Amino acid sequence: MQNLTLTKILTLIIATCVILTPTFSIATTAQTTTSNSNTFILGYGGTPFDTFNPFTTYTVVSTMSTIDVYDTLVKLTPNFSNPVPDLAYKWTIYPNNSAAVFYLVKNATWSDGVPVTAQDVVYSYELASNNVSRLQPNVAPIISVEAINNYTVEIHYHPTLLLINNIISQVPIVPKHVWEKYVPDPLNATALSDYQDYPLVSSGPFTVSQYVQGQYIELTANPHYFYKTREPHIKNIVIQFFKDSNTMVAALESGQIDAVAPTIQPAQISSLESGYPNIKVVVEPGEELWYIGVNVYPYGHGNPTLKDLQVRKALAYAINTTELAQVIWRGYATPAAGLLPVGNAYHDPNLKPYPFNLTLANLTLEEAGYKMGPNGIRVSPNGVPLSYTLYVINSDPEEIQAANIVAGWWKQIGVQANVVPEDGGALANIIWPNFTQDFDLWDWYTSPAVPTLLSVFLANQTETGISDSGYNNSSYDKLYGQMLTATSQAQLKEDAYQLQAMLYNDLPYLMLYYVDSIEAYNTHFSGLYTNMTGGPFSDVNWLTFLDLQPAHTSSTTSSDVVPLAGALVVAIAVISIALYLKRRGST
Amino acid sequence: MGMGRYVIKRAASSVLTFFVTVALTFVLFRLLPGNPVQLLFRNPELTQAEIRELSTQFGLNKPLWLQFILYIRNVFLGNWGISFYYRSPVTEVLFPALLNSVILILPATVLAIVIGAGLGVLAGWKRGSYTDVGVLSSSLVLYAIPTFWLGILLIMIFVKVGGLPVSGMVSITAVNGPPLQYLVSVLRHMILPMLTLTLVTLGQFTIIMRSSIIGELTEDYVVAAYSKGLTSSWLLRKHVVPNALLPTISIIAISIGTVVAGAVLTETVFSWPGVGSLIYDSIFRRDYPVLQGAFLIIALFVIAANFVADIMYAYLDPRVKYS
Repeated sequence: MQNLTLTKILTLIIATCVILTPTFSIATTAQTTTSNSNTFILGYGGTPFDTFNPFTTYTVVSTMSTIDVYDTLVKLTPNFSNPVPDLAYKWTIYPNNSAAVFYLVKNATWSDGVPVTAQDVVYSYELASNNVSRLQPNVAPIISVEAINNYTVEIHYHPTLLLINNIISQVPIVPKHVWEKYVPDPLNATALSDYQDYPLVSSGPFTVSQYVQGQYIELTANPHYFYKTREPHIKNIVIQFFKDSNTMVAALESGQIDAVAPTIQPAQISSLESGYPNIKVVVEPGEELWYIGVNVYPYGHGNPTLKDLQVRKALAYAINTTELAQVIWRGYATPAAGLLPVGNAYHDPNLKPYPFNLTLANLTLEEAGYKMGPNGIRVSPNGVPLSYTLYVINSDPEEIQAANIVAGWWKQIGVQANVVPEDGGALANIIWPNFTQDFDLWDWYTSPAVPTLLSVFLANQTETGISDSGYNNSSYDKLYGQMLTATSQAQLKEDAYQLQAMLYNDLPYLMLYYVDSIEAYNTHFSGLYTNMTGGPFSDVNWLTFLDLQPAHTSSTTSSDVVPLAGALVVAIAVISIALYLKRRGST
Repeated sequence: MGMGRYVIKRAASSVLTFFVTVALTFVLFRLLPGNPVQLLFRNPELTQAEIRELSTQFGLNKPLWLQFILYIRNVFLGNWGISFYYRSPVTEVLFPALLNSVILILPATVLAIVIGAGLGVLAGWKRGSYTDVGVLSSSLVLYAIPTFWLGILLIMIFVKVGGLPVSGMVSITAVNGPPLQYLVSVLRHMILPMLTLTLVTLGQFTIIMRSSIIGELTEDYVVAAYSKGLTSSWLLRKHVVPNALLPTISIIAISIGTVVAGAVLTETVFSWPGVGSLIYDSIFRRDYPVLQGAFLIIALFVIAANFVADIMYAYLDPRVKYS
């Protein structure tokens, strides 16, 4: 009886060992293959992927994943100043800046072998103008897109200098012969919205070879890519999704992945840099701006004292943006003055953050007639206390901390701010359509190539649920229209600067900081294009995946430990068998 | 009441519960403030036309009562709608995630029940001993440990020690490999999240089982059995444990719902692509169709588990069906 029990136990141990041994030994192979020089695994911890359809996606990861999958007519240089050829090898812009002709390469083919033609371009631009297309505002100035022949396209448009930066370099060219099966009428909103575009047919240097929802996207180098000098060095790029940035960084440390994006926490930098000599952290200007929106809507229902510019100025003087950037982002953020972040091509370097001066803030309020009340809260000449609610988006704990710090400074000038964290839905409900809020601490992401974030402050954006300040200034609206139709780059930039200056002076937003992009990668890969806003893995950086190459072919650090674990398991199995045989022999 | 009538009565009650859940699911998510269109597409360049078009497509421009009727009709026709976020049918979004969750939750729950109940029996039997104190205090600690904290701790340890993947469900290289390599890769990825989920859930089973055993040991029949000279181990196996299992069965049924809640955190920490993390993301996006689908499935599981538990309870303890 006892022998039988012993036999059962030993059988169980041996069976467990037999199962576990291949687990560990095969795992060793898998881990080593992870650092295979032909595969680059990028961990992505931002907003989850939604769709491959480039016209209906609203996620950075989708745009970033397909930036080298779909071609555009032209691409932009890293500083967003000049176009370089893509599907169009040359182009001519008419002197009146209202028409342009693009000449397509004749050797480009879709991944199913069908040639890329001007008809694909026309169809793609029609899709872009669909009502549910995210690119519809971009292509709004376009009057017509015509195929002159199979490889020539003529575009007529309302004059704008943003033609290349905001339209031609943004609209992906998709295969008409594939898409028209699902979206026969390119202007049909339902058809475009429902089309997932997977599996997809593309013409760029990479194709999407696999996608598993919630797990990863695999890109494979396109062997038929027409632009021979831009052929990728790495065969496979895998974008693996993460829910938690700590886990993602841990995976980078353990060698499970090769890089992390879109950004990691500043606190993680020092441990990566000090503990892992083979990991390099890249800090570049980001695409994100944090601000405190002030309810200045003429028909809003917030505290009326905020419509007084002197109050807003005093509040701006009472925010130390330098200290905030240091405390909240450990210095990996730039104190903000203008609306467009420091890495944007139209960022105004002349604007400086309001000086932090509590004495000046107190004086400004005093002179404007806001007297200190007995409870330490100032009161307006009409008897309205300067007591506000400061809503803050609750997705980022750091920003809740920032709101509390700001409230502390404001308290010193007799302003009470009650900090209330809310999720995006609740906050949107508070703001639109009735504008019942006083302040909202929130963020914007913007493309670094264009100044179109300035459109947030157009008067008509209040009703669309875009403008959270309710700013209403006809001069601003007029200048914005003028900027879009500027006839020289210098004029365009000047207009963008003036618009930013208007916002700086009128203070519908109290600017906080532009957050840096912090990414990291394993140095067994090189060639990452790092000198670009948003970092090497942003949704505008089309060079990284092409230039990426193995620096050397050694295996990862973590795999060294794995054989040890495998050996341990095998040893247990051997000892168990030996024990079993010994006991059996003795009975 | 006979067993047959009892089963019919419980089944009817379960069906009614499901219908109420279907209705509540609709109301619950619409109580969340905010418009999905604004939330999904916080884009500075979004136009009014685009907002109108998307609202129409999502059916959000219809009156709420009409949305409710369409929802009820579609639920029973098997049409669970299109995810606002993924723009794919809810079933395509939900079922792969659900399967991934079951792969993780099922073995973790079974392990937690078996180990937890086993430790509970041991602690109850050896009440007052060092073993009891050890088991009880570790169970309380495990019960109180925040899931994400334990998960991050395990990740930190295994990043340093190596040998096990700390995130995801399968190695990319194993995806295109032979089936065995795929299976092994999934098993390896499962170890840490499963360990986390098992550890944080087993404490409750230990505590309940221990209390049950202690309660049974004070019953007169145990004293009588001792007086008759029955051995301790025989008494434990044949009488005390089967009787003490009854309350544990109820706890297991109730815990199915809480295990899913625990899985939300585990899945998030380990980037396990399950239904927990899908629900978490969908709440922030106000992706009503996915949320409705996920909650209906979970409700169905919980109601079914409770139904089975009720029947088992009645079968094991005949007093129940006559009450």
